[in-house]
Amino acid sequence: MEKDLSSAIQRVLAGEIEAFEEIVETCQGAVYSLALRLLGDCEEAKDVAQEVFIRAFRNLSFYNPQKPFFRWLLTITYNTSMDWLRRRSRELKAVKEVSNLARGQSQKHDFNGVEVEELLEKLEQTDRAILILKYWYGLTCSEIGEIVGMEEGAVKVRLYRARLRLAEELRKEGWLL
Amino acid sequence: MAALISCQEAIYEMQEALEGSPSPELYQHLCFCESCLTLWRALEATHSLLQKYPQPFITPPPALKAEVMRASKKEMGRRKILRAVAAPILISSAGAFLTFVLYKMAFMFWNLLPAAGIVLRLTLRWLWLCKELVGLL
Repeated sequence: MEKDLSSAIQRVLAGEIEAFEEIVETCQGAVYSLALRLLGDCEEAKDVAQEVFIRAFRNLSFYNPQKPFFRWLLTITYNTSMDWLRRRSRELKAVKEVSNLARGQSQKHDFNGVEVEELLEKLEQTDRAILILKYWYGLTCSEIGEIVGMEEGAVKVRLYRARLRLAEELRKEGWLL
Repeated sequence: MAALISCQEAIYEMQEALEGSPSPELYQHLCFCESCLTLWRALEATHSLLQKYPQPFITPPPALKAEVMRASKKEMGRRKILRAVAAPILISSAGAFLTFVLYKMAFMFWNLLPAAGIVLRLTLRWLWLCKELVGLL
């Protein structure tokens, strides 16, 4: 998943700012996606993504090359998104209607990716982040723990509860007996 | 027949099973425990759903990269100014402070010179007396 950015990082630390563009180009999709899925708003996700890259640029000299750069960036993304939500001082709940799910009740159709996203929005942010990082970013529980600031055991417990919560939502919509 | 695992152990096994394959102990427990079976079905359903619909990365707006690079260049410029202006100020401040400390220490030392002389004389006399006593012995 990670392109080797070590040479770009070295060039940025040496003062070659154009090398940072390569880092932004490679990682902006992952950063923006995570921010958007946590915040649920495109404008805010763009602002957060921008802030993430600025923070990364400022603290690049503190980055430990022994650890994957992508994971370090995701940690900043997660923390920045949570800070943003705290500043907003309200929990983001699902804004989207469930009518998209309901429209399938009268006719048979398969679940689709949009509906999965809508279901995830009903979860609490940390649970949502853990599920997204686990299933869509392919990280292990230990790696997720480093990003969200929890022990591996705590991540497993949250993952278990998040899955159950999602199952509950599926049951409410009639997709699970 | 081996003893059945407890429901708590079964829950742990379920989570491990989602990453790999279910253990025989879990299967055995599920044959006899309706509530754990319901739980397992729920976990399996959500696990399959999330695996079936992996979401790709969303393409950010084109302006994001341009704004990040603009902000980074501004940050770089700010650092250069800080280095050019702040460094000489810091060095000269540190030098002035060091000079002041050395001056104060020299002044204190000068005041203490007579007392230091007395202490030195007394110490030498004591050492001479010890030498004489050792010599007598």
